[in-house]
Amino acid sequence: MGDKKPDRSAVPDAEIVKLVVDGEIDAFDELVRRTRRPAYRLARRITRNHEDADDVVQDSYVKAYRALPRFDPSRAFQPWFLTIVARSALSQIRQRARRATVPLDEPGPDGTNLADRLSEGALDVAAKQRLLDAEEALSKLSDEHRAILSLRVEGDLPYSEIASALEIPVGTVMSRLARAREALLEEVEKLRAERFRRPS
Amino acid sequence: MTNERIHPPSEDLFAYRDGELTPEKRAAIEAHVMGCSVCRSLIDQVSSLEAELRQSPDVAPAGYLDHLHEAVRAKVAVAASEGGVEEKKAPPREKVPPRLGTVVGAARDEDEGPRRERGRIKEAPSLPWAAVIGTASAAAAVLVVVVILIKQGPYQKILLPTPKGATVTTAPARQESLVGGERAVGGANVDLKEREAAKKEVAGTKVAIGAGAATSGTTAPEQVAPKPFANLNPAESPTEEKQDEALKDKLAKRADEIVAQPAPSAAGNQAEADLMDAKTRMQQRAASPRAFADEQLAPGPAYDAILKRYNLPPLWAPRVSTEALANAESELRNLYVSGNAGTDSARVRLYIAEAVRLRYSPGDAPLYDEIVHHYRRVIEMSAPDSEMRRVAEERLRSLER
Repeated sequence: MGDKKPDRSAVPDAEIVKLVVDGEIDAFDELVRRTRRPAYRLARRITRNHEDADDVVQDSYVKAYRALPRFDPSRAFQPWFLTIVARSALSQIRQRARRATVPLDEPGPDGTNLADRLSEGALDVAAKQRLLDAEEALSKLSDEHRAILSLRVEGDLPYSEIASALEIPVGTVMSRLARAREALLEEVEKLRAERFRRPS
Repeated sequence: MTNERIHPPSEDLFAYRDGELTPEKRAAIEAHVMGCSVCRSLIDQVSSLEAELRQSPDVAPAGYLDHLHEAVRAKVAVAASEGGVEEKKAPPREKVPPRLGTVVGAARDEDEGPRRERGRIKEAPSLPWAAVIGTASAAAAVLVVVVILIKQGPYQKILLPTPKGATVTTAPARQESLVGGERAVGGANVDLKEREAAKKEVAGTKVAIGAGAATSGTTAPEQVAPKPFANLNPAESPTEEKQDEALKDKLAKRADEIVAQPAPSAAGNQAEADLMDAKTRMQQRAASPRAFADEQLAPGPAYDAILKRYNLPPLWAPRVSTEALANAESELRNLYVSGNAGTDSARVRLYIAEAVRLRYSPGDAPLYDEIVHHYRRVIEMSAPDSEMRRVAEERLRSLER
């Protein structure tokens, strides 16, 4: 009676989608639970700020909910959903470029930055530095390169899904991803070289 | 003459690494990579960097994912009330005309878009307009009722704790209450039978509440408390108004009795709390029905602390001191960005819009866009007939470009 919700953690995506399409919107909770973390990480990587990422993810869930009848039940929900997140995030950063300023664009939304968070973990100094370099290098890439790399890294999406998310041919995904990876390596090299010249 | 090897393009190397090559090409690249340390190194470096990025700790503020979940829940509930999911792929559905505006608009964003759009656009001219108008009217009626339900339904839990024993009504159940043409007042929170029973009591057929669970212990709290504020819709019919007036009096009387009782039994606590809550809400609603949707929410602790620190009301109003607003801006921003604003998010954002507006002068395009963005989000986040939405819409209209 009352509030107790059925445990759907073992129910396949396709069955949950069917429940939602048939009117049981509470079942949508389970899809949110399964995907909210990668969705936020992807949106955050592309938009580079918490506020926009939050807007993007919330809107993406509403879009996904409305479009559920078009979801192919033979596929997993997450990759399909992440393509929606990616498109929304790209649309958001295009609008943001038009706005010229980024509202609330502050990294480290709760006052901590990545280095603070890493200090809580068990990584050794060298591993932490590598991770910081990787993050900083990614943040220096163009929006286009950052988006395609984020889709690959956070979504682990195959090229065909990335092509769908970015609305480009698969061949373009191959070449753009390669350029993005080369640019990432180059940025990391620059950071390391700079540190080598200016030891702390 | 050098002995330099010709390396495959990096696209092919990375596609090999990602498992995206055809078997033939894969075999060719593999043969090269096995014997080429340069290409292996390139692949390894990229793999290592990407692995590091994957391991990167979450940057979401603590508790954000739960906050996100709640926000999504509320938004999906609104989406459900506005028409739910798109139509399925045209099964034989008794020629119900598609909802052109929403369906075509939504299809633009998603995959399959162009093909679906073309198909639907072709369908449009043959629509029977009488049916379209009829459907639109019905949809509008459904929207109005469902919005009322949503305000009090399970998705309202983030805004308003559901009373103990309340029935969670899902979408099909809501539709059911519409079938008979009844105004489904409070249908999401109150079981229809319970509601009928409450009305009978009010008509004098039985007195249960006055000698209810708290004193006799013979009646279960769920039976005693008919979730009364579920009945408080100002658009009730005259008969219902009379009944609710009587119910209101009765609840008020009962609440006074409860206040007078020294130590209510544990079993009756929840029912009594519901009754007291109902009385307070009735008074609030009678005082300002329009503001009820927003004002019913007590500010969360973090928001409340900022309001108190700067002497601000829960909802921005023109009387707010510009100095206090300017001083509070950074704390309000931090609260919003931290993800801990929760159900105060829209109110916080309205304040932020107003704070930015203090610095704005016409012609400043970036600030104009930022302010508009905030107002629009407030409008999206707030209930359709709420005071907050009205304020945000008015402020947006009055913003000079």
